[in-house]
Amino acid sequence: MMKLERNNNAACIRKVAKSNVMSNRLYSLFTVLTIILAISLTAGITLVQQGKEIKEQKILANMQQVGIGNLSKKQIASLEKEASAECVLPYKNSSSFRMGDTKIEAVYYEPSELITTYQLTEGNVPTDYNEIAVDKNIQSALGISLKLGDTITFELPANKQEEFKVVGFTDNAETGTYYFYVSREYAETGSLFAGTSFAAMVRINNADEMSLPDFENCVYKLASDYGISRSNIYFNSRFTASLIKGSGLGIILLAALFIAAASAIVIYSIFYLSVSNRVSQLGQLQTIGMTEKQLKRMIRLEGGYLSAVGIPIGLFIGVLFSYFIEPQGMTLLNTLVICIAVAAAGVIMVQFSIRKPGKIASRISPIEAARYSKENKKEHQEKPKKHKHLSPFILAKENGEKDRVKQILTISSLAIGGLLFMVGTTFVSSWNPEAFAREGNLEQGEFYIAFDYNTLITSKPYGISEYQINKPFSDELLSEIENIDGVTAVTKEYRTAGIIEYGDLKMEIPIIPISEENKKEVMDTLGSEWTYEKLAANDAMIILGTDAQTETYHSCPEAGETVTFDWFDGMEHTTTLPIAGSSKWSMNEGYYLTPETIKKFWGDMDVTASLSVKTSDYKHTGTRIENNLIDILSEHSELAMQTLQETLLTTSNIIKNTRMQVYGLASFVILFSVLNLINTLISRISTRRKELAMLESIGMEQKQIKKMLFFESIFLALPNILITGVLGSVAGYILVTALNKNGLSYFQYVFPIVPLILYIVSMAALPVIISSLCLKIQSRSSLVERIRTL
Amino acid sequence: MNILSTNNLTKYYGFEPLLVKALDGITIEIEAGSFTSIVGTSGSGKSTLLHMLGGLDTPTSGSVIVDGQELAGMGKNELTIFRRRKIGFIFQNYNLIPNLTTYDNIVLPIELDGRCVDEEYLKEIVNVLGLKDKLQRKPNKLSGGQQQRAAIARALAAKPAIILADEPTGNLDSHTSQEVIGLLQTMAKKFYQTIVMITHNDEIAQATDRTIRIEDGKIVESRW
Repeated sequence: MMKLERNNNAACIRKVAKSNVMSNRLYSLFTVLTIILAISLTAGITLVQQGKEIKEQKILANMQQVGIGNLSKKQIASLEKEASAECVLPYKNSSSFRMGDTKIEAVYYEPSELITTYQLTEGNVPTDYNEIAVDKNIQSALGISLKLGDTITFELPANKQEEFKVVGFTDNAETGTYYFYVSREYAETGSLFAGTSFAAMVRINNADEMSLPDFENCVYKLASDYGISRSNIYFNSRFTASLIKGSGLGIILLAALFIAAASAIVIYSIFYLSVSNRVSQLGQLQTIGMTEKQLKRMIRLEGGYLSAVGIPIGLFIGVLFSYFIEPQGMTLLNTLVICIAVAAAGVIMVQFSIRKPGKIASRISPIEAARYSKENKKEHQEKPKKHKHLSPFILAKENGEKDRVKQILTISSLAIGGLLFMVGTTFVSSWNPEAFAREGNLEQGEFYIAFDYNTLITSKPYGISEYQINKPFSDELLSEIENIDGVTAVTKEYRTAGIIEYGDLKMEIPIIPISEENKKEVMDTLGSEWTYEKLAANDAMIILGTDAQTETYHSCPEAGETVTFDWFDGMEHTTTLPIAGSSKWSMNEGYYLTPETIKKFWGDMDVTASLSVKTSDYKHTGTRIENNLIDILSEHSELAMQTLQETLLTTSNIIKNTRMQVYGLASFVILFSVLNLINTLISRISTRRKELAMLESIGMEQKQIKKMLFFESIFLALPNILITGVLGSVAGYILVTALNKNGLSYFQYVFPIVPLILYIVSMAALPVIISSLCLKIQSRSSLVERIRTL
Repeated sequence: MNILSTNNLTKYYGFEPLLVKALDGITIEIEAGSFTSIVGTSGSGKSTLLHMLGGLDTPTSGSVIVDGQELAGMGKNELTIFRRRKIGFIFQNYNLIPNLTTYDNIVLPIELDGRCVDEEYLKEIVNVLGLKDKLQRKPNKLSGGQQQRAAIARALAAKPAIILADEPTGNLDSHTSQEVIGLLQTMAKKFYQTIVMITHNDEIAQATDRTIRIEDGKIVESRW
């Protein structure tokens, strides 16, 4: 037999729930809007992140996974036969040279279908000695016009000239360097490549299914099998990053959780308000026999109906949004799976949010509800209060105290958004673009001159020391630079290279002399038995940042061990030396020797590795000095220059992108709280339609009513503004100070005054505008009509 | 002396042929200090008339003069201020502000007008209405009769030219209704307060000085 509380009433409850949703249009609208916002955001973020990964996979499918430098022809031939290698693509880069202001570089790539190198927009791949394919943008840079079959003469360093026949064109993105692509024959014998060894781009079979350590071990084994030094292996960081699984998923989950929490607060408060405004109706339903369980079910169904409208619209917007951002990363299966997962999460989130209001609804007793009118809510013990002269301000204050829970919920949700906004804006405002650009090479000047990266990638075994023996940073060069008008200082940085043999490893390592700047950090790693003099006498070495070394080489000598050290000063030498000390982490990673030991090993060789050029009034003199330096360096093809200007362009883009992300995230969170605020204000005014009319009937002017609503809005906005301004500023300051103290010195605290003012103005204006609009809409009905409102 | 008068007052809704004549040429004169009841069946137009008298609604034609001032020419804001100073309202469902104490509710129209409360006068009203111990209570802690008494006190406190009461006993039991009518009579006499009350109850109407009967928007009877 069916129990009393069980009967075939599903259709009836559905009908009541549906009519509730339809009649409480305001609450329904805001709930649906919140659901749409949450779902579109979660689906959008997830799809874009997944899309990015898919797009990255597509790019990586045609990219090298590892580069191997300094290869002999024999090594290349052997590698090409290696079973574990999916593809070995030999290539060569020449040193760059300049024609006027134009930086040009020759490149050779073996044609391959597996690895994308350059793409011809016209013509053919060069095959004969003097045939080239050239970046067509070089025409405007050099002020010439070319067509297929034309010849072009390049003025090479040391006043040489070479003529090439153009057989193809590429259309490369602007990088500041113009490339031309040569034939294999030219790569092997051409003057631009003299003394340059081949490198190879390599793909390993099934590498994308390996873990990062497995992949690295596979490459190291390959290197070891063919006598390739680990220092000549260059992992493609894009590919290795793709092997670290889960990092993207973590971010998505965190973002989804945050969005769910923000929307749950809003949905909860909308339903809370909806239930507390329907107490009498809910009580009537109980009176005529609806059980607690049925009431809860009715509220759940209301949530379900609203989800049924909001979730599909949210998914549609999310998919559309991600299609515009990452069209190449969209797949049908992926989109379907994500949509189903997000929809399920959405349903759970909505049902979770309305659980408590549902419980409240089911606990309303019919007696309580029968006596209930909106003003009949539970009250604290009334204490006699001193009468204050009634004014719109006092009335607004009394009204604010009427529904504290809702007031607190709205303020909390606003404050969460405000805090995030404030921390975010402090973060981006305090990110100093120039200090960020100067981080690293440009700390001591606006120009940094060092060995050309391409020269080093096709390096010699002893790294830069093999170039230092020719004293590229000569006194003449130094004096030429110092004599440029506007140059105030030229600082040398000393560093050379050597090889240490440790276990079965041979590692090319940077050798840095101990100096006044680094002495304290270096000496702090030493035990009490060591003194500076003892270090110099024993030619002892100190390693700073062993963690980073271990990451690169999977192994690193430790303090107390002895290693074999090879160096080159025009001739090769070998010795053994002790490791006196080491530190796991350092901002100044490297292998340190005393200047005495360096002098002993390298004699008079100049171990200058770079020059920092400081200028006065860089803003105005920078371009002229840069042109002067380009002229000087055109005679030094092994040297390359980094300028503050070009670095600023890159770093500004990074900051701009981060700023967009931070503001985007903060805006969405604020949007949730604004929805909550709008809902609170509109429902607060619409449920007081009669009360406001009553006040008007006994003589409260429109102006006074407006003033009262204005103060009510201010009582909502002010705590939020205070929390955002004070707590947000403190949190932002703590964040920036912590970043600064942890080595990110380019974070220099700046109070985000303009964003804060904009925030305060909009947060103060919004409630006032909404209140005025609501009042205006209400005033369309006559006073009598409003007084008669039930 | 007349404190309130109307001249050929009409209020029409809609257009021909569906024109509804809620008030159709009402002309009345109310003497100062009198207690007048307007009676009629549901839909007769008595509430509409009261709204016109109180400046809550505007007539289609005709005029309303309260304390020598014509309401027709007044703007919305001017009318609100006029109501605050010259008219006191008593509604069937009391219309007290829920989050204010009884005292605050009573003095609200005076303080909104920026005037000082005449505490002596207020004390007198409160004593007569039996609200002395209820002043710090919120409306939801008062019985229906007490709430209506608070509404009467609010209407009287501003010393208006006229009090308009819209079915003031409509929500009360017969005993409390008698009590409230008794209080209104006392107020009219003691404070020389003009009161116009709407009711559909003939028995209650008999307690007033004058009864005006309305049917279909027209006065059908006026007796002292």
